[in-house]
Amino acid sequence: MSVRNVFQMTALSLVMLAGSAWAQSAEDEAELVERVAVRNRLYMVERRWEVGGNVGFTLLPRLTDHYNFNVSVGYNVAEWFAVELRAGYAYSRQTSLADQVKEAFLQQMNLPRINDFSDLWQMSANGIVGVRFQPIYGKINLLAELPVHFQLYFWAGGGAGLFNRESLLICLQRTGSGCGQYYTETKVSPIVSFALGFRFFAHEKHAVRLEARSWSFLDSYFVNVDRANVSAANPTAGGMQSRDAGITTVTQIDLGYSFVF
Amino acid sequence: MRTTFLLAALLFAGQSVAAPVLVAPLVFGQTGGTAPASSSDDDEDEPAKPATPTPDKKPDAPATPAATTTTAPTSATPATTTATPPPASSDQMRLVNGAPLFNPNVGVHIVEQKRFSDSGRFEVTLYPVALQVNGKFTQHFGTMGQLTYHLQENFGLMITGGGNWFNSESSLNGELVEKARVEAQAASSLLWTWGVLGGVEVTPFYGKFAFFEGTLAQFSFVLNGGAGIGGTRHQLKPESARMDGTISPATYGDTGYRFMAGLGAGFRLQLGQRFAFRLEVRDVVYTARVERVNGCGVEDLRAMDTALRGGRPVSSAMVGGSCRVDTFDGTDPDTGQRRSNDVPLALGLVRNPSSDVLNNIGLYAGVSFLF
Repeated sequence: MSVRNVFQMTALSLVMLAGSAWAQSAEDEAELVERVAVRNRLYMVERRWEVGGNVGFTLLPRLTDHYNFNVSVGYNVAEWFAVELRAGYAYSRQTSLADQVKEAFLQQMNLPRINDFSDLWQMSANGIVGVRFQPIYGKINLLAELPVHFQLYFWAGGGAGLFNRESLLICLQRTGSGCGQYYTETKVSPIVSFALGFRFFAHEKHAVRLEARSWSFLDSYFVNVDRANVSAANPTAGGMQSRDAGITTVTQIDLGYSFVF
Repeated sequence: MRTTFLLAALLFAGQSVAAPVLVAPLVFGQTGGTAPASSSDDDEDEPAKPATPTPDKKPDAPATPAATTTTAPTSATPATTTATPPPASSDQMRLVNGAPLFNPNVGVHIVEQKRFSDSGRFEVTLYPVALQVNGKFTQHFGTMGQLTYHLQENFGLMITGGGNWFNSESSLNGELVEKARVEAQAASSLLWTWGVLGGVEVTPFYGKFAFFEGTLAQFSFVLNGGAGIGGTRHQLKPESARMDGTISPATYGDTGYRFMAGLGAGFRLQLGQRFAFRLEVRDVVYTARVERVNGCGVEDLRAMDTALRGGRPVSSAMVGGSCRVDTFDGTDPDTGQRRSNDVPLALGLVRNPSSDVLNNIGLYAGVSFLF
């Protein structure tokens, strides 16, 4: 989690630093092009609504994997600022690594106390609202002839989501050498989301989005569970919620499309 | 992977704007010469260019007053000269790098040539923080440097190197050991300590952008690739808590050099003639097969383990010449424990050798100086 935060902060800091650092070097050029070069943008979004769709996949799946499908509605208050609402559903599952841990633990009979794993909550339905800070507008000269216009933006917001969790270690019903049923939980939890991305304009009304987005939510899991007394009627068997569960952050790469009215 | 999607998105967007639409031309200059105006897409079609080839500009060369040039006829001219536009003001006739200054269809003027030439120059880059972003079983933070010689404007030779001052097994691996008594294969959790790679760097395209409404900046997209060698190590004893509550640090064993190859992509933001920012994602690939720890193979470690079990010091074991027995002898000042405790742990690593191909994907943020 801390690494992802460092990643986000580094990227943001670079953008901010760059903004001030090039100001001096661009002064002489600014005398030439004055304000026209930036005032007359080809694709203006100010005071325009937009709708879109996004698909996100997990950058680094560890014990869980998410594929998040979102629709979005946004309003561009200014060229550099927008408000956006996103809602959707994440198809999530446990990874093969999680399955291996399950199998291995079933063979470990010398661990009488169970401390369950962190970061096992899987997001399903989700909705967030946030602001998009998009001060950078530019263009690239692709393959010498093809011009591509883009906006670089930072997104921040929050909302809520529906989560479910399946334990890797708390088996409620043993079936021979396997487990027929693991302990599961469901909850609704607040979400905080940040994103850094590009919007590539293909047309005045069409844009393709590419962004790195984090979804952060509260983690929780049981520790000190008496393995011998676990049952469907007593799933946590004297265990208690971990006091330092912290926050789970799922980082995704999002691909999306926006239609600007 | 992110780079792949970035390129895919760029190609998709680029193809969608590839069909320019011609509009009525503007009249340029006082000599009556005509030229097609910018397309509706903006300034991708250069409205006015001298008929004679333009010599390469020097960096920071003043812009040529193109308003007085007469343009060469193009294939589009006959079709468009029938529509006579209203007389243009002097401001509209003024060109900046070939683009009409006050044309409302012109967004950010296309970059026709870089303000600063890189050709024939050296570039020294310091990446104060290079952090691994795909650490499942390992986590690395390092500092890297790079020297690039730009043979041409968009092609250069580079040598990059540095060290990972933090390289450790991830919290997930610790959790696996602590809670389920399982851990990643030795090869999958091999740690990268230092590396030197040489290779090439290309800048296939470049662009510019505006920050808010005021300033412009130029950037280029860089791709680089290279090969070299690097050092590796593996954790032997995990970090643990002592009886008095203090932390006993982890111990590590040197697992030797590895051939490494790297691919990278990112952005280079030019800040004046001398400085640039770089933000890149690099994938360093290396094979991981743990066969030796501190130069000692499985037979060496077995001999030392046998000596220890017989109550003899590890230095009494008969080992090969490459085996550094001293690394398993004496007391570790950090942990306060005998180094020989690492012998059975090292033997466990090499007894059943595992192999893997590791990808260390890192985010490199750096500052460059050009000379």
